[in-house]
Amino acid sequence: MNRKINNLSLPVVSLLVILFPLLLNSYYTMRILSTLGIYLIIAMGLNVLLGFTGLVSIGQAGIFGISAYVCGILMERAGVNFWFAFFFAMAVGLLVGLGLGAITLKLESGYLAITTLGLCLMVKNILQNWDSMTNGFEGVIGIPKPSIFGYVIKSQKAVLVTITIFVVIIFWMLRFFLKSKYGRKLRASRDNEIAASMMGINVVSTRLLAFTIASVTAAIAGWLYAGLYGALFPDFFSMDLSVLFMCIVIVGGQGTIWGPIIGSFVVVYGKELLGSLGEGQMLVYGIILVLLCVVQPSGLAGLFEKGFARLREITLKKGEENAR
Amino acid sequence: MIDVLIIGITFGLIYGLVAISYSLIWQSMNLIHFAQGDLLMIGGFIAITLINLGITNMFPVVLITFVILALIGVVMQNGIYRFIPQKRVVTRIIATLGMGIIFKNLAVLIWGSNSHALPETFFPGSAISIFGISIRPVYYWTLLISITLVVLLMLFLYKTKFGLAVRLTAYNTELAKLMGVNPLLYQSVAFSLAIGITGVSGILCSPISYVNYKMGLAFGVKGFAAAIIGGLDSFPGAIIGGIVIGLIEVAFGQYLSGYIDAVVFGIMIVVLVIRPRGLFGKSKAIKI
Amino acid sequence: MPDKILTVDNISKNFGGVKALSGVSTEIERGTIHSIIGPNGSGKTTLINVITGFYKPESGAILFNGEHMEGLKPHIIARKGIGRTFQNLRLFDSMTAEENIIVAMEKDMKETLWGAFVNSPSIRNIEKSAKEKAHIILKRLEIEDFADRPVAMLPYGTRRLIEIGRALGLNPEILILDEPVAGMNPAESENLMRIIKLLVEEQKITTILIEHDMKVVMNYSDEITVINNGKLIARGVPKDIQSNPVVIQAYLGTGRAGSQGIKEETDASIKN
Repeated sequence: MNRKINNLSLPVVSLLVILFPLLLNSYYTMRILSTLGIYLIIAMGLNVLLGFTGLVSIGQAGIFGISAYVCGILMERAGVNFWFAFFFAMAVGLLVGLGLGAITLKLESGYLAITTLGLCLMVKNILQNWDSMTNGFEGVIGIPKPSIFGYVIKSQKAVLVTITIFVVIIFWMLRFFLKSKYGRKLRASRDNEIAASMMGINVVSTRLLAFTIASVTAAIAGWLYAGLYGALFPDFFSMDLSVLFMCIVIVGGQGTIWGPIIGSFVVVYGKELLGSLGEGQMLVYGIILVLLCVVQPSGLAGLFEKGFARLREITLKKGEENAR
Repeated sequence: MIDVLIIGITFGLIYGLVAISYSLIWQSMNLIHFAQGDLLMIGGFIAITLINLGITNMFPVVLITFVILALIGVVMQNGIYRFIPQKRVVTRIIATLGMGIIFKNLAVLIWGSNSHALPETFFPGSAISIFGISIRPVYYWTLLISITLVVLLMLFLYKTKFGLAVRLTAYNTELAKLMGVNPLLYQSVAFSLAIGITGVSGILCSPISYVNYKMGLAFGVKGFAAAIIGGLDSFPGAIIGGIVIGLIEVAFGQYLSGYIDAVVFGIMIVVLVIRPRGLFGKSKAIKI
Repeated sequence: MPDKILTVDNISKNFGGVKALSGVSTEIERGTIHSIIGPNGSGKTTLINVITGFYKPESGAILFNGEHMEGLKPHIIARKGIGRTFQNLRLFDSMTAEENIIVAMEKDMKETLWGAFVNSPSIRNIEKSAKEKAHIILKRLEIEDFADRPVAMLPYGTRRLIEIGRALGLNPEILILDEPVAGMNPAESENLMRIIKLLVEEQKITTILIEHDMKVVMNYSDEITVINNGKLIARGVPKDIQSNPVVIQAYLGTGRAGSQGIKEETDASIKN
């Protein structure tokens, strides 16, 4: 009975979430939520890789950046339509995911961390220096705003609604994915690699799938960012950003469906609050990250889940006692 | 041209020291310590602070820095890393990233965001002349100190009982436990030594490149690239890998100046693909 | 004519300088319970790891229904129909009992990737029938009540049964059980072996058993292979093995049941 209620309420909530921005009026709030939405998309993909498959990538900002620049340059310079540019973003995501993945996933999981870190640094380096293509430090600006059925997506409200729609779509797709046999394969590979392979799972290709999903989601975020924000600067796509995404996933709770959502709110709003501290604000994040690693690797969502599990055990026990 | 070569080799030695630290930590604890570069930065800052406090002689500064960093290592290993089980690979990696963030931001809060440099007079003596080439003290002292550190480390690991225990723990932790060796103790020792070495390498780069809170990333990643190229389980390989990177940097620095980082990382990725165990690594790095 | 489902042909496996297996050969007949025994460290688990593809042998062949298996990757061998349990339980601790079993059923579940992203009706059907099949297995093992409990919190004996259920999810022709009754009291062992024997008879699954418990081995095996120091030292029916002087000699050194002990224990249990 509980499950039936769940099944109805989530689609309704999703619809409400999409419509919610229409109620907002504060430019500041809408701006933060838009950025939050973009980060959330990347975090959801990273969560599939990190939380559900147990692999570390410190390169999501790099993939985000490649896709943003590819789409931005195509839109600004070659006049490619925003919606058509989506396919280029997908191509970037698939190429990086499958390409880099095929190379590194044969190795121990720590190596993926290094390679993705290297990728992230390489990307920023190239974006800063390839003046002829990327304008170097001056960035790519003046990317034309997208339009749909003649309506130009220009106002912050329209931007936020667009981002929210994509957040919801990706949330659902990933949720279904994780509940399917593929999600189980990911978790089995994470829980016990050897047992998983002895039960017929090709662990390497499973990991490749997870990494490609993370890569494609980051690429989609890049496409949205380029089209909806209109300006790209290389310094933005840094390792700090990659670490931020990881913070979101971990603080929220890796390996849980709601983790990225909780995490992105906590981290993005937290960053706003800490912003007044100036340099050194990230110290708090460093400390929280380390504390979480030692004490509660499953993050905030993990705390909630433990709470629910406790409740469940208690009610089960009560039920058994009453039955006697 | 020769000057360029000397600079390349000097930086290469520094990368090599960082690489050895990575290697030591990897072999003894199966951990890729992402905070390495930031600890190098801390070493540099501590040396500068010591000088500002009036200790200007190179020898005590190097020694004290080593000890301080080693102590920091003890705290890190026993206060934090110890509590995360070995099998949670991902959590350990993230913990090291977190430590790196902590050190970086502590550095800003303590020493500010400006760049500092050690005076070159820190390194005693005057320029010597070999085959007509003038080599400044900072360069030959870097060479001497690096060699000394490596030699001392090798002597410790291969010629002392303590070192034997460290190597045994690294080779097979279960076996070590069965033989009555406490793995945590020796892992602590190995870890502290590695951090100490990294701290000293931070001193070595400060007269030639500025010390600021952001420098850790470049040195950390290049040091790791050196370890990969040389082979994570080979100490000589680590030094050679470092020198290779140092030379590549100066060789291409003229033509590709901005891109040099990308080139180095690119080479690292290529090595990982073609020969994951590096030039001199012994065990295969590939998993089933 | 006896039907050999699995042939181990002259398998050798080295680790560095250590010869874990030297020229081991044996044959497993279809539909039987075949035990592999030997003192600790004799190479039993190594042999199993070679059969299941975890190790690649230096020389020799493994033939499964006549097909060469040596050198193939573990997941391919598993998909061909060889399932196993592990000496030190390797369950998927983040999952429930039924999920653990469904994981192994993956090869028969034709869910497409695109369908997975949208939760298509065919996906939902496949998931439903997989869940039903898993429940059937759990029922056979008499642990259906634990279906949706996270395995991490369940008692040891139940976890062992779930691991067997997971191997069964593979729908295997050969089931390899690596010390299934380790750490169990006699009552639990009896229960488990009873269930296994029933399963084997009903579903005609060939079972390879690695066990130290001589009572279990002598009572339940159709045939026994004895390994010591990486070499085959005997092969035959329980009666012959228990009175085989070479076998007895191998066990004398370990301090476990000596020759008298083996004979006494098995005589006593057969009388029961």
